[in-house]
Amino acid sequence: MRLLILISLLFNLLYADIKTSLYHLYQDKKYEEACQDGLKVFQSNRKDEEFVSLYAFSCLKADHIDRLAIPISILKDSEEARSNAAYFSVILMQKKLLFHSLIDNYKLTELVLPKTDHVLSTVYELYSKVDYQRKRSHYSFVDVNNEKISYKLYIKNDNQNKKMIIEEYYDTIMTHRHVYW
Amino acid sequence: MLNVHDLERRWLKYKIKTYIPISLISVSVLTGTILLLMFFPFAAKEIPNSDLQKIAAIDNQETVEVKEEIIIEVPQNTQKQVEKKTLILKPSLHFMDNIEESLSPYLDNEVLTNTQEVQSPIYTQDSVKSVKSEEVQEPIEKKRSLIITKKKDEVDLKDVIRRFKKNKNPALSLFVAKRYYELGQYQKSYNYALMTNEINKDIDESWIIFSKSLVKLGQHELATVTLKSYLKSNKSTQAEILLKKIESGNFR
Repeated sequence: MRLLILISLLFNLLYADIKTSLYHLYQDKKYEEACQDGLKVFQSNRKDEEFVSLYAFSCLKADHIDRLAIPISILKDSEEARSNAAYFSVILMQKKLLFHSLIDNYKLTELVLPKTDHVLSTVYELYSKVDYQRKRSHYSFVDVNNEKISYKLYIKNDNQNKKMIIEEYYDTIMTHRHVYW
Repeated sequence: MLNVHDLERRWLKYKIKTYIPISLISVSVLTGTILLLMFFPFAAKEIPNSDLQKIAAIDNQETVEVKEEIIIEVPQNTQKQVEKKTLILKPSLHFMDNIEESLSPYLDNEVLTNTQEVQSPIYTQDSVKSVKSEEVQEPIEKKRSLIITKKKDEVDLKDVIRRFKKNKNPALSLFVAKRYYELGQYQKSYNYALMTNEINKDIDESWIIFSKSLVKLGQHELATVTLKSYLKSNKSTQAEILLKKIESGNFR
């Protein structure tokens, strides 16, 4: 009996520590580390929506968009969780549609999707306005709200794997480079 | 002899009587049909679209065309609405506050251990000095009361932080920033002043606390740049004085 209580206490401590450490990693902007650590213990914590949300936001910031698929299906109990699930699903869908359109020349002009504050959403909106019949290797867009901010979108063939690259520029200086596959 | 005239009159009366029911029936039928014809077109207009679609689906080609028109119109209208208003989704990060609140018990424990540490030397002093019990009780009470007020402050501050997280009121975050600055916790003071500035950019005191915290954290240049950029858009004598003090090296 004592052993059982001890094990449960240890488990609780460990469980609390994982969420805390993940939270601190997120606060320290170590998104990649937070996403990787979260993935390792995801199965044992999948019932905790706060943990799942924290893991999903870490992976989103670390550009691991495909990892959002499971949190999207899990986040459903609270209003906040449902709202975040909808937010993630829009980003995931826009990434998939962009990828499909860039490689297979799929027409996006007729699709009207919700907007988000994520770079994928911004680029998706700009790309959907481009004439799909004029296929190019690189697409350059200027931000609607700030002329100094621009985006470059292209497909890179990396060891038989096609990767979608989004580069963010501020006054011709590259500030971020997102790689999606 | 037969009275022919009388017979003819009676026969006419009889004939008229026989025609009365037929004429009455025919008149009522006529009025009925006229009334029906008068009201029938209006009644047909009131038939709902769904019923029209059902009728159209049976066999009439003309009504089929009507049905097609209705179906086409609906999606066109909805598309226009979507084009006008695109939905914007925003992430919700309130769960982070809950996680942060769940971390606070550790802070409480730290406060308790600190108070215990402060209390312990009082007892040792008493035992060493071996003063009279009446004289000893006074300093202990004084010390205890001091500790209690400090703990109350901490609790109050946490309460203010909790309220700020719920309301996002800049007055509360400014209060917290000031309090942390007074306590010498400049990193926290900087954080709360930054939050205040994000909520409301026109609070002088918040910018001053923000710059002061930056100086205390060793970021003199950033503090001067911040104050200069603030003074470009706002007139604040306090900010000007602080800027001069930082530049002259009087405020460190």
